[in-house]
Amino acid sequence: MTHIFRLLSVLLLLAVPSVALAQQPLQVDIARGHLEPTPIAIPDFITAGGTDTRGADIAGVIAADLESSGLFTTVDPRAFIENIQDFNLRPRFQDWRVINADALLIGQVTRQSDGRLLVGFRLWDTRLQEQMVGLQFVTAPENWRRVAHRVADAVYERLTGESGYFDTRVIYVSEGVGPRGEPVRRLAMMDQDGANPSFLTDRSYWSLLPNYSPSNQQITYVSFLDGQATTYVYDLESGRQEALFASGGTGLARVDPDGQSLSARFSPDGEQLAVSIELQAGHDIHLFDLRSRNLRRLTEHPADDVEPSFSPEGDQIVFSSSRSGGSQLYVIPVNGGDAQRVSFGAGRYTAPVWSPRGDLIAFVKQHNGQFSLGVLDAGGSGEERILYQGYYVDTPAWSPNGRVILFTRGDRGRDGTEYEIWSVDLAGFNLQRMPITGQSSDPAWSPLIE
Amino acid sequence: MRTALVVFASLLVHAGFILAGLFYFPQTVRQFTTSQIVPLELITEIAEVTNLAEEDIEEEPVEEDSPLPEPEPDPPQAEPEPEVDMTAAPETEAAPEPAPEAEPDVDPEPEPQAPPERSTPQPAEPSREPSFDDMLRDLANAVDADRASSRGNQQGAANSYDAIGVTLADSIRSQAQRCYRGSADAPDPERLIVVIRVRLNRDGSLDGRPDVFNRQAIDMSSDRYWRVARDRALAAVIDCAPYRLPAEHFSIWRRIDVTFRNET
Repeated sequence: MTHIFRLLSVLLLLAVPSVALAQQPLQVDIARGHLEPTPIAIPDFITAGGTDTRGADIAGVIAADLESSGLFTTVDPRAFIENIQDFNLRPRFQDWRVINADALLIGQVTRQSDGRLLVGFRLWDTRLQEQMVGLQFVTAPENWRRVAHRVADAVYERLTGESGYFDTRVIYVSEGVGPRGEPVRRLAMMDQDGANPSFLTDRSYWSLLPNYSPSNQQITYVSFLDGQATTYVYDLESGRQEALFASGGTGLARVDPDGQSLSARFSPDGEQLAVSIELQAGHDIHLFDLRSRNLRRLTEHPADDVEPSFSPEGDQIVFSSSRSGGSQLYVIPVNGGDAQRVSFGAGRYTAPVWSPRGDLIAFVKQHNGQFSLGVLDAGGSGEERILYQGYYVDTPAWSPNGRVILFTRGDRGRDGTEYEIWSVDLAGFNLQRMPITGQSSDPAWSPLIE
Repeated sequence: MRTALVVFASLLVHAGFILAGLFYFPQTVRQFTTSQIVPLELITEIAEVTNLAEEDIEEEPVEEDSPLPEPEPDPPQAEPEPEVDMTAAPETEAAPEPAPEAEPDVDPEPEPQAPPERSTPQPAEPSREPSFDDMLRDLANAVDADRASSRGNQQGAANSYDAIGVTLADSIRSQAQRCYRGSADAPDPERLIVVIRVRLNRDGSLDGRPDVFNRQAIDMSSDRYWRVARDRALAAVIDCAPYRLPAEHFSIWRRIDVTFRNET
């Protein structure tokens, strides 16, 4: 028995230092990584049945979408080693590692007996050697671009963790010149990548400041159809539109006949509009219930309160106001309460738009003769980040995932200021001009299309 | 006659309403260009069904004009079959390891000056008919040897062990960091911590697929950014292997916990 005790005690003595010294895994800490774009290989989608399935076109649109985000680079197809011909076959991962493709997107297009396209894809991680996501879609052949955008969204989401924004549309103001040299401002719509442009309104009157509803089916915009600025709701599917706050006593809304309605934004649930209306002295923020048609005054201040925008939860509204002298940004609870100032820098802050993520507010600042596009902390810390500076900046619009901002950019041209829509990401990188023919302004980014 | 009058009046009233509607309502409700969205149906999710061998595909010649870096000669031969299930028990390549699992407690040699024979002979030389006291003596000697070579050596050995560990950790960090695509561009990235447990072979290659130490927390969370951070950390560890590390300290770096964070 004593032997056993002695043995155990010796074993214990033997074990302690060894365990302490040797058997803990070595601890390595990596505090941050690089933020380089992810290299992805996108071979043409395989044509499995029929002809003219647009396999190459679909791959091209996906590649363009992903590259435009600035978060991906596509591997040159001339470098591909493996020629994938079977959608269901596991790729030779080493062939894709050799050409530095971290991800590989394989797709297949089949024309079904009913004429529709069946589009499937698999996204492979070449390092982990596993499929990350695979989906199939069916649609009409003419809808192939939307399929491509949906695939790009799925890839983007799987590789970044955030929702995509490629299967979306942009409504904007197309700025032109009429036959007598008069400026023309019409609403136009296109896919987010500039494809399929079309006009929504005609050239006989000005249309400005469109904003999307969360349902994607309606927009608000300011129209001069009746000779003065009036807020309209426009149903994109039926083509019907309705004046909400017509001045001049048409009885549509209880607005003072001398009042002027400006740009209205939808609440996140789509049931209300926030709008700035001039009732007596100065503009105030109002909430308009789209069902009951009730107009509720939210701010009451002698100074002008304009440009309201809801928080993504719908419980707060940011607006710009000259109540402290120069124009600054304020946040007020929808259910009433005091407005809290959230911008504190020098200059005039205007055009606030709350990010879909909720943590930031995009704004335009005018200071020392220069315009800036920036984002500030919605919590009111005063922290702000400038994303772009230039001759003229206006009307920021967030992508539905809160990663990219579209904005109107004005530059000196031969015949005065020329306006174009540009995009920039949240970090101030990836500044790109939207592919729109002619001058354009006032972008509104749709939610993801269902 | 009266009925006819009533009908006529009714017609007038209705016509009046219609005319009023035509003149009045167009100002409030107008028909404009429509924008129909063509439906797109999501049919199914595609499972990772395929496990067919790549050999089924005919070999394509490597294009010579590839602008991208030439393949290094080692990766292909290092993993001859890409089908290898990384989760399966790793085949222990016995060649480089003289006595891998003989007595892991004994083999750490923190100090190079410690003579290697001191600890190894004892377990390797069991006498033909060891008495119980002999065994105890041997064990006691082993304890002495172990103490002498580590803690017993005026804590210098422990300190040098720490110093070597720090140096090795720095080396691994510098090698793995370049393969790590961080998530600092995600919202609140500081929360996206991933710990990968890695086992290495003596040649610095991976001994089996690395494990995500906090996998359960990540899988149970609905945070897609965290899952992406997990994949990126895992990929970084795999992508940067093999690691160049001093073989004499293999016992220290054979198991590593790499914590990937996203400081802004």
